[in-house]
Amino acid sequence: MKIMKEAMAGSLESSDCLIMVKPSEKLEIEIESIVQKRYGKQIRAAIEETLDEMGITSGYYKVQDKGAIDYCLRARVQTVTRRGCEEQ
Amino acid sequence: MLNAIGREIPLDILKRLKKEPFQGAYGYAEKSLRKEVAFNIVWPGTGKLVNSISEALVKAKFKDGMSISFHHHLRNGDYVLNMVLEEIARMGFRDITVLASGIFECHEPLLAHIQNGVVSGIHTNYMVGPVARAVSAGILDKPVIMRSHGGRDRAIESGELKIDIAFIAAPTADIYGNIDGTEGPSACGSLGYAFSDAKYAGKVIALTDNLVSYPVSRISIDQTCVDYVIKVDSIGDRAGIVSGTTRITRDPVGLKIAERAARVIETGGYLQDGFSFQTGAGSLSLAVASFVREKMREKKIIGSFGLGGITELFVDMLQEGLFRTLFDTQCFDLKSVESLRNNSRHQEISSSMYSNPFTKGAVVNNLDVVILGATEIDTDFNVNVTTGSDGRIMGGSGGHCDAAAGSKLTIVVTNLMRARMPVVVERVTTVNTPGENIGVLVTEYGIAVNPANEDLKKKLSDNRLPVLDIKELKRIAYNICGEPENLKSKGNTIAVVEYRDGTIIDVIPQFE
Repeated sequence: MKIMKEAMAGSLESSDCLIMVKPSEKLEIEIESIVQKRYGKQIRAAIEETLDEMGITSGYYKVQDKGAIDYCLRARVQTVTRRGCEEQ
Repeated sequence: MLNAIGREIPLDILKRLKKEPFQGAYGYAEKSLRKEVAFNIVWPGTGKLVNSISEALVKAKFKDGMSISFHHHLRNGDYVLNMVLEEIARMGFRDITVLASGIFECHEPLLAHIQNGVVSGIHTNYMVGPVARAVSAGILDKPVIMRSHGGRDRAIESGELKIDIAFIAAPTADIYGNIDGTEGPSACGSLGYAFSDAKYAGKVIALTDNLVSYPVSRISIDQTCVDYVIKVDSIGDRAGIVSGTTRITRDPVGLKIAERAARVIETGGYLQDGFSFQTGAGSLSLAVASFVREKMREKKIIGSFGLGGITELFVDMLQEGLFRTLFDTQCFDLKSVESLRNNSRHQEISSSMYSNPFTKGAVVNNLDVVILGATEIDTDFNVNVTTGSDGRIMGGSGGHCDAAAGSKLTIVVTNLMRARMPVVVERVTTVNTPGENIGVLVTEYGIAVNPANEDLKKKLSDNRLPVLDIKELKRIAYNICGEPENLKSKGNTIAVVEYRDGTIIDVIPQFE
């Protein structure tokens, strides 16, 4: 799978996250989180693992996290990735 | 060194402040004393009206290095602290210590005064907004001293905390210094937190936007305390002072927690004639009060008193005959202000009478049940309402540890998690209330009872309330959220948390 176009998933509600993706040569993940100091490493790990499982090696991901737990993060990453990979 | 609840208190801080580490909630002192206050006698024929803040400061012989106090009844609508400091800065004074019972978003101008060296120290009971964030980022060289409401009064009355000038935000004042909080365009109701300031400060200056001829018809702080009266355009922004209404939560999870807390009170046998009760003004606390009201109606119980910051719900309960009286240190909404003005059974009390541990008995000692919140609570039941999960100051004890220490039963109500942050944790970021004073923790995942209260635990279990070990609640939270990483301290102390008796219960470092 490869990111072909811009896409978005999620929301800025408390306990959710908003993820935007766009095509890029390499894989870049930018994370902003209200729980960065406490869960920054775990958030990045959950996102990277999910992308790895989906075979994604390129794309620019911007994650705005409002305290989503891991399964929410994973679900949003999967959805935004599928949206970004769909045909125009 | 480690204090009685295992918090590390740097020795140099204890030495510099001449303080003892926290030794347990009771019994640190047997005797106390009230300080002597030197003041200027006002003889017949002398008026108290002055034209401006600067004139009052000159008359009061204000100078560099002095301490000035403020009370927080105007909350986020307060103009007085900013007005006074602006004048002090304009006149070129420096090295001032601000003793404010609460600091809010509206006090952002304080930051410039700190940067310019006008203000060099802060003591407060509660702090949010830009000032709290800047303090957390190390803007002050001297650590902020954080006290409880009762602790502040103890410090003032014993002479430990010296106020050179107290500034009173007076919603109504007469020309000879009698003050009423219930009338005027900026009416805020009770002035309970300003009583100690008015009695024990070297000089007392009242600022009012509703100056009336002598005398006011209802006296709260009286003329024998006040040196000068200043008429100003406005002491506050109505919208920030009182809310139109205080709301009960509609969140179904919150309602479930509240309903359980009310069942804990009932099952514990506390709902009897003479029942006394305090809650905060948060939507979850109010929901508990609302369930308790239903139970009091059903069982035809007449309570003795409701206490605290008073809200509409408590006023309704008073009018309905569910309480004989209300004790009020602070009105949270318009209906409470109106009730305090019109109902003689709604009584204004000083925060010292409410919560000062070093008196011949504060009202909290007569409390049956108090409902409190928590930002974090650890497996020893120690509570933090002072710092957020990022380690920055976003509150403070206020009356939290006072009510917890006095009340027969203290119930903490909270969701188990808030936006991924577990509320029940291994170790809280800051302790402001010791676990020995917390009886029960009620969450949506279960109820934890302090092991010291075996009888209550049995009663709750026997009545099929979902009782769990607090460590189990922590495990559930960590399973869902993951284990939080520890905050990294930079090594310097930005605030010292005094327990109500004046011992040091914790310090707050600057975090990365």
